[in-house]
Amino acid sequence: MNFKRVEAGKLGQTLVQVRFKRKLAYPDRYNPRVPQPNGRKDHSSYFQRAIKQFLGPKNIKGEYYKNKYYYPPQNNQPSYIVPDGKSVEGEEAESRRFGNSNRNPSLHPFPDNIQCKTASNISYELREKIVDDSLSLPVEKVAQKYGLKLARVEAIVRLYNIEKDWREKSKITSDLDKFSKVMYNMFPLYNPPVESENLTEIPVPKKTLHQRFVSIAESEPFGPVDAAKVFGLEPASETLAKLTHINDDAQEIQNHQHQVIVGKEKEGDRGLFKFVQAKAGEVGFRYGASRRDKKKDKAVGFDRTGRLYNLL
Amino acid sequence: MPRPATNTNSLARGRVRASMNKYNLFNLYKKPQIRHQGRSLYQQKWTAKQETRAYHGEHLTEGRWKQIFDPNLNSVAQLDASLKGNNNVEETPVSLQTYAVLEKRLEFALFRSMFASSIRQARQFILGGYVEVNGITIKHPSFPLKSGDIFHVKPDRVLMALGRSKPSLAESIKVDNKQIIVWNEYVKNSKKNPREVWQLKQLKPKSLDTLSEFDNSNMIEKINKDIDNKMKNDQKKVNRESILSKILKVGKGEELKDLTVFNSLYGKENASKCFEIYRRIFDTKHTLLTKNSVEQCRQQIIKKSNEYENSQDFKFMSKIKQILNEINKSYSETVRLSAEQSKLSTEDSSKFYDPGFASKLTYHEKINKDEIMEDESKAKINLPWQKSLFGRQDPSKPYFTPWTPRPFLGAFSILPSHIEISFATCHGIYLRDPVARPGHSEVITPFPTHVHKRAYMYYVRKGM
Repeated sequence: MNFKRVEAGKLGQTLVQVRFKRKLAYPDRYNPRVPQPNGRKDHSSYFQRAIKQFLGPKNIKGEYYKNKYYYPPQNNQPSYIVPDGKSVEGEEAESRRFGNSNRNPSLHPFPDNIQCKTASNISYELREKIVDDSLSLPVEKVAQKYGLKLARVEAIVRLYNIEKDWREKSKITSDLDKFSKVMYNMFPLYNPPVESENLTEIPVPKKTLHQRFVSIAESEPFGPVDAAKVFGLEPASETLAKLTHINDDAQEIQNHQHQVIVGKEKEGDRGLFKFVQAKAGEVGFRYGASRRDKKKDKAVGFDRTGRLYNLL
Repeated sequence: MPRPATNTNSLARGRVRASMNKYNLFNLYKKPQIRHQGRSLYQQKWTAKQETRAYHGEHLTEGRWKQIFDPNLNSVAQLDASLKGNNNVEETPVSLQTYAVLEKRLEFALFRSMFASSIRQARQFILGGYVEVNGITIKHPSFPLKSGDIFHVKPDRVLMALGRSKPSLAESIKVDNKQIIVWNEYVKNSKKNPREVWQLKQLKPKSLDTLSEFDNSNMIEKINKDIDNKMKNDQKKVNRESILSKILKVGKGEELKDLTVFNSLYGKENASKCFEIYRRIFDTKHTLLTKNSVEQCRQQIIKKSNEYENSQDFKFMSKIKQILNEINKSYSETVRLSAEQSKLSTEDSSKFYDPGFASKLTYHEKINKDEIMEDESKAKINLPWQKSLFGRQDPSKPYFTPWTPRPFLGAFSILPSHIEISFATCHGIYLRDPVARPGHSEVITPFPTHVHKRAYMYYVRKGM
């Protein structure tokens, strides 16, 4: 954006006229060495020449065979971009350091955001071990043993079973197999004791996002449990225990059944009467009530066949 | 309806998109830093909103996004932080959760799990009916995923999205014609002066292609790896029981006068040891003399000290075991040394030079474009690296065959923390909504915290 200062002499005042001018996205992290247009008939723009230089030469097959980022890394060590202006192999590196010095280009995909990391893959061997253990041990134990979240362990086992099934039915074609191997070799592998997931994570309660002032005596001890009491929350350890404990939902659902009364069928009846327990307000339409399906933020749901319908 | 896509990858505009396009890669590469200095608060918020929205849900209209936006951001606290005793816990990047609500949409999950090369392509797949959630075809890109949902994309689509684009027949013929011309030139030169061509080939720099099988230095590495594997197998095969069994079998239970029969067994240097074992067993008329299978030998060797009838037997067996250990050790050393010797050095590849290599090369016939354009199956390609038309081994498939990764795949592939993926079957399981924890945000975004903070400020006041 540019500011243009215009003197309005007549009124004897200084007015600031802001004129918006779009600034083009020229690189500012490195010194681009963009070649000059090739002769008078070359009408290519600066950016067209810049990307050509970034990509490097092409071979017969159409591959940018000298570009560092063209081929996927296959050593379980990603190589994300480093904006140093040296995308083509053979160019000497500048001595200047670029961007965040804490950034690791094989872990952080983006130069500016080091809080974004690539996750690590579970190796084939470790996956076998997890699946084996999950047959004999409860999931909580397996999760603790390998330092993985409960949901992830369950997902690994589920996906393993699907893959096994596909292999037995030989649904995995050679192309698909090659694809999966290329992807497997591209990501870092999970190394259990070193980079295990934190299993003591609980969602931050909304109440704790605001300040609360309590006056207490100087000698009075005040710890996290007391703080929880002030906020009217349960201690964090209880929350964690609830999150990591698997309660058998399936059993509860079976126990909870709708009360249904089926009417006696009499001669000449065209339908069967059925009375289902329901609560007023939760079912049916009330005459004259406004419909949310006309609102901009209408609530939608999906039925069992995957069709979208408007919620009340 | 998605927003119309007009000039999304403009290099002059330089926005970063959620896409694996090479123009987008260059835009990310040359992205100027977002600065707030000397700008009013509203200008800062506006720029931050422009930049982040170009990446997060660029296909959604502003009105739609404002309905989806949720000002409550999710983060987690780690309870063991205080137990670990380090007081400098990293800051939780809560503002990076500004666009976390979008990540639960099916289209986003497909792109994040690398089953589509852009969000717009993920939408195409969903609308085309190629995507299932929990076994049901879902045709709504906005379908909200819940924890534990399993989604699946038809493998052909995934291979198309993550593979090279399939060339048209005309393009394929064009590439092959060029390849044949270069190959014939190479054959001609090699037949003329093979030594020079060979040397020139050696000087060629190593290819960057991580998947190539025809690279010379890769070939050496592969051969060396095979030798290594063979050596390890050889070493594994030989153990105490197998050595003992072999010695006894060679001896045949007869009295032996000299050790030459053992020369061929584990080398000359071990022959005397083998002979000693045999002599000891023969002298005591041990049961092993007749019962000499590998399993029976193993039984004798693993016997514990308290299982022997008398101490003499125990001493006798432990002496035998000691000699067997020596033989085993020295034999595995010989195997290792011989493997090391047979390995090829990566610098000196002249060993490969075969003066007759040029005579084995054959010219490739030119291909008839018109004939192939009428009937593709008439194409006969027989280059050493390619046995069918370029990228069209199986023309019925919608992707480049044999499958080859798309350009610049490595720079774009980020494994998400909130989705577990099986690439072999193209299934993904949505574990949870992405959260922020100290020093890490599960929402994948190229923008730093300060930009997201301003974008959040923009939307939390309903775009003011």
